[in-house]
Amino acid sequence: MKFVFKITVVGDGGVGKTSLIKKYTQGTFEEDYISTVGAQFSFYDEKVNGDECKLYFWDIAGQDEFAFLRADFYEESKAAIIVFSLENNTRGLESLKHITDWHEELKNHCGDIPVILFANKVDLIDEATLDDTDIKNLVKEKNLIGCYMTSAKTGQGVTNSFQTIIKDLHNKYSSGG
Amino acid sequence: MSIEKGALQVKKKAIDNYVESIYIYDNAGICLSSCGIKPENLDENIVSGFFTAIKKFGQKLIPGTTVKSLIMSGHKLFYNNFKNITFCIQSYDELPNQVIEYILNEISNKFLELYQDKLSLNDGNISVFEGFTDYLSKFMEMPLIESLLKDFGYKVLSEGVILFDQKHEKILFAKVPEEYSSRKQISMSGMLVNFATKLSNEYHGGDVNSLLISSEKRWICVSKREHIYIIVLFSKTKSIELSIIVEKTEEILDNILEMLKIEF
Repeated sequence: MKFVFKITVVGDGGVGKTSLIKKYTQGTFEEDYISTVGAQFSFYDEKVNGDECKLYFWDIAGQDEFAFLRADFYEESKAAIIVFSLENNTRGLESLKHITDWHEELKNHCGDIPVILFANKVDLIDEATLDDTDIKNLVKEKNLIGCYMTSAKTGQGVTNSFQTIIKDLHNKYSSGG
Repeated sequence: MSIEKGALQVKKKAIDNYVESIYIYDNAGICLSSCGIKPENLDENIVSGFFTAIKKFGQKLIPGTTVKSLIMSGHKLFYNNFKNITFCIQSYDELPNQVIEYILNEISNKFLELYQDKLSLNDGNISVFEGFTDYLSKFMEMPLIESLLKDFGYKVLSEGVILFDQKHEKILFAKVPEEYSSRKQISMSGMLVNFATKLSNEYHGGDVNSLLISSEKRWICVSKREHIYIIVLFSKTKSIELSIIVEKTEEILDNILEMLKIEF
C-alpha cells in the first residue's frame, strides 16, 4: 500500500521547526535563521513493512502575523508536532509556556490526532542538569505520543523522533485506522 | 542523449494537446492523482500543497469565495472544486476556457464515479487512486480535437475547425495550422456570410445558415448559429459528397455548442 500522511508542525517562531524538518528530510542545517512565510512543504519517503509511507510536512509559521491562516492549514492533518526550544532565554521559556496553547489550537481544529513534542536545541544546554518533570507531566496530562530531545544542528534525536511518528501512523492506518 | 529526446517528445505531445498537467488533490493538499509535465524533481505533493495554500489564502482574503483560476503569461490554471477534492488543469493560454471547463468536468465526473465511496475513508492510503493516472495519461495523449469529436460519436474528415464568436470577437476553439487561424481570415468568413445573407434576402431566402466554398484545393464550409461561426476545412483530395460536408459542418457546430454549453 501507499500512504501519504499530512503532518502539521507548529511551535513559536524561531524554535527550529523548519531546521528540524530540513535536517530530517535533507540532512542539512543552516546557521542563518530565515523566518517561514505562511507555510512550507516538504516530504520524506520511507518503507514500513513493505508499505510506501510519505510524510508530508506542513511547516506552519509560528509568528502571530500568520495566526489567521493557521486553522485552515491544519485541515485533515493526520498527526502534529509541537516544537519548543530548550535554550535558556526568553524565547526558550516562552516556547515552553506556549505548548499548551498550541495543543489546544490543534485539538480545536484537528480533533484527537496523535501529537508529539520535540524539545529542540538540546545542543545548547547541559542535558544532565535538565529538569524535565514539567514536560513529562505535560506529556501524560495531554496524552501526547512522547517528548523527544532534538538538535537540528547536531542531528541528535532527530531520526528517532520522526521515526516514532511514521511507525505510529503506519500502525494506526495500515490496520484500518 | 536519449533521455533528452524523450523529454522533448513528452513536451511536444503536451503542447499538441494544450493541456500541460492535471492534478487531483484533497483539502490536506495530498495529491491523489496527477499527470503531465512539471519541473524535474518537483514532487506533485509540493505542487498540490501550494495550490491548496493559495486556495485557503484566497478564501481568507475574500471570504465566501474560491479560487477558480490563476492566469500567468502564456499559461493558466483552472480549478474545479467538489466537496473536499480539487481538480486542477494547467494549460497553455490558447486553450479556450470553455474547453478547459469541459475537460475538468469530464475528469471530475469520471473520478467521482470511480472513487466517491473511497474518499470518505480518508486514511492516507492513496494506492486506491493509482489506476486513475492511466486514465489521465490516455486523456492527455489523445489529440484534443479527436478527444472532443470522439464524444460526438463520429470521425470527421476535416483538416481543421475554427469556432468564432462574432459578438465578442473571440476565437473559442481552433484546431488548424496557425496560418489559417488569424482574426482577419475568420472575420472575412463572417463578412462573407453577411454578404450572402443580404443576397439571400434580396431573393426572399432569409438568413444564411451555411456557405460552401469549392476552391481548387479545399472545401471551405462556414456555418453559423446566431453569432457563433464555425469554419471547417476539408481536403479536395478526399471524396466527400457536398451535402455531407454541409451536414457534417452543422453537426459539428451543434455538438460543440452543446458541449461548450453555449445557448442563445
